[in-house]
Amino acid sequence: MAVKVRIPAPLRGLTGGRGEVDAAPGSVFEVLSGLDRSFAGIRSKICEESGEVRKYVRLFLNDEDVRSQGGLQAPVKDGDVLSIIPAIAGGCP
Amino acid sequence: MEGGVLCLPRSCEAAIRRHGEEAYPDEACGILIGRTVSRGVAVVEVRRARNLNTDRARDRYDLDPLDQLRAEEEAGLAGLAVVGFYHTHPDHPASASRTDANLAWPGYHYVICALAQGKPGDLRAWTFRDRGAEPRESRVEAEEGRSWRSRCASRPPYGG
Repeated sequence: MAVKVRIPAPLRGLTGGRGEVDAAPGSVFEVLSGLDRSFAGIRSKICEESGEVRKYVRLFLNDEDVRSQGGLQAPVKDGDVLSIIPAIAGGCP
Repeated sequence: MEGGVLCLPRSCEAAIRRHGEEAYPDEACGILIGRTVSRGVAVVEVRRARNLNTDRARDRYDLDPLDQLRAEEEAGLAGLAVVGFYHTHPDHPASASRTDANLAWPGYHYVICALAQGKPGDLRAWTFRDRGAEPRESRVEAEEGRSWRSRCASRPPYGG
């Protein structure tokens, strides 16, 4: 069993069109690093150069925002699901 | 039109208009669930989402990420995907605004429905190559086929 990572449509160009990929367990940071080794460039779409999660991206671990679970250091176990959710906003004018 | 084809069943279009009418003078927002088809993207269901921007609900929306997360989960289980989003422009045209463009993601269709004095008007759809890029208008087609037409429905926001 591995960690499942859900990939939103804007990032599927980096995963060959796949909406869900497997990753090795670890911290959220380690999962994202592993993901980047398999799909080069994906971490930079999720995190700033400083390593922090980008303002317009949310990460959910098993339906809870990772910010409430320790952020990038939150542990991700076998069978967990990490979802990458792009923030959707706008308005007029 | 450069933004591709968005097949939007009439019942889904009606659901978006109805949501906009109910939310007026605030903006309404929601999620488009569907699949990629040969001609573009076909919507099979629209779901209402909560607008978390309560301070500026009349001219801004921040779609609740929990609604989005659940839509992603349920769409995936059904072999579908979140293919885009909709929102309304109360007393403004259905064009993508600079705010919309600056906050847009590539890979999604963004449906915008204009409301004038509370009455739904134009409905148009847009895609973006990247954040801040010029909007590209999608061609909205009313039907994709009968096989999935009956599956289209408007559902209430999660937990709402």
